[in-house]
Amino acid sequence: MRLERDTGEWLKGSGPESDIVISSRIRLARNLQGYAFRTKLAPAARIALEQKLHEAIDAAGLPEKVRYSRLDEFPEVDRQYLLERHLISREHAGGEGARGVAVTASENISIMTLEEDHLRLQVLRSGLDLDACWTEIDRLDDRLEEHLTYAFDPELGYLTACPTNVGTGIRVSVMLHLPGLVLTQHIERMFRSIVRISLVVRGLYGEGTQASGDFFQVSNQVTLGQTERQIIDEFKQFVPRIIDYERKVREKLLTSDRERIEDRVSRACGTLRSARTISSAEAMEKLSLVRLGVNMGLIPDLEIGAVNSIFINAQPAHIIKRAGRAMDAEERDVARARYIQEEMGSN
Amino acid sequence: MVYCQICKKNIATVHYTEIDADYTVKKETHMCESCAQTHDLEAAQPKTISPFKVIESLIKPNLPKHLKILLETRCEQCGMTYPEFRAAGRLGCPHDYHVFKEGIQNVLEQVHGGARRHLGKVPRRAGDAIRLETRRAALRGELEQAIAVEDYERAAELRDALRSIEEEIQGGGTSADEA
Ligand SMILES: [Zn+2]
Ligand SMILES: [Zn+2]
Repeated sequence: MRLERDTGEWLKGSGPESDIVISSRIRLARNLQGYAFRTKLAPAARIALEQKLHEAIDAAGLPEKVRYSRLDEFPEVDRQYLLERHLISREHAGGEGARGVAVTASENISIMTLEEDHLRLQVLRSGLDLDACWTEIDRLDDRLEEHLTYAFDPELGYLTACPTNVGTGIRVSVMLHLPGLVLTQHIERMFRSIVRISLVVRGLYGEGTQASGDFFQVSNQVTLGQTERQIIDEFKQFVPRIIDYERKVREKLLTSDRERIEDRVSRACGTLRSARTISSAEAMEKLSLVRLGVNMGLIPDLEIGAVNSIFINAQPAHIIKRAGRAMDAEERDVARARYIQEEMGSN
Repeated sequence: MVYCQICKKNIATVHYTEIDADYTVKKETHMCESCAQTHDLEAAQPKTISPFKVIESLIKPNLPKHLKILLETRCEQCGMTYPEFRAAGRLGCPHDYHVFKEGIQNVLEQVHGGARRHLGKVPRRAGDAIRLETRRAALRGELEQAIAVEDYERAAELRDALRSIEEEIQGGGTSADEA
């Protein structure tokens, strides 16, 4: 499969605070009344439900052109490709049985069918823009509800397969790039304060993944007993404080440690522009420093949208899709080095 | 269906449940018949002060009644059992929230910081009455919060909003309970 765009609109790096906040995301978990949750669905019932959900998505009239794909009919590399673009979860990519995903042309909206819950709606936006995410997903949820009856209880709210999501079924997340805090070893202290206000830090690909490198996903844990607004407001109070902290650390680095930071950024640039072979992990680590350099004005000939897009396109399944053939890890590392130089220039 | 946690091959038929003094389930072990015979349960469990130790297949008469009922309950709609839910962490169908209500309460309290009612969005099909009731509960909570932090301006706004919701509720609304 190929999607319409080189990268999703949410990666264009144009939203508020997008030097530090890569993206804002809201996800809603919904299930239908009168059907078992996924693990207790017999195969035939599951296929019928997948069709019903697919039809409801078609009938809902999404704001943009939408493409629905059956993941169980996809080769692994295509599922990995969607995971790398943050359009499906790790569980959905690796799962079994009838299931699908609807993706809009901008890639701002994706709807997973028969993931852990019958429906998982997701809206992504560039930068810190949770209000836009909520307005969009609330409307999307209303449109789907015109065609479906959700499992809902007046006391417990939206009923989900896992009790950790019951109530609003909402997961709000903000993906942050915090190389300054990592470099100056302030990151631990910052995370301790997050835990105190009941937000959690996760890896780049959501639940069950480790935070890696300089990228962190901050999410809510509580879904019951608070309104969606209250949950979003908690982020609106807290995320600007993280942003401030990161900016101050960067300013300090520029005044008191300029040589050292310029050296690291320009070495990272040099590696990416001259490597003949590069692993995914090394590319991510160097790209993070390049991204920091661009945002600090140290690399004038690159823009942030281009760097964001290299991050996505340098991942394994993207390298394979680009080549259009199967490749082992060594071949991928060579192709990755070549791709990065096409985008960034070579020494 | 749960697999044996020891050999990970056979279906578990013996469910060992360790229960706290306050009747909350602390630890569960699911085993097949043959593993259960060779596995020394007593040695495997950490020594605690006064846990009830239960092998489900020989439930002791002094087991608290509501827990005994919970362990024997099976959802008639999807076939889910309580030990199966605890092992997988996932429920089988929406009805399970009622079937295993007492057992799920613990999970909700742990994850959501005390079991409170839903205060968020209400689907249109649930009807106006439920929507207004939920909104009223949410506003009451926010009002308490505003008073606690002495934000009297916000408290006044919330009081007005609450009043107009209550008028709507008394006005009977339109009982739009769609089927
Ligand atoms: Zn066994
Ligand atoms: Zn059930």
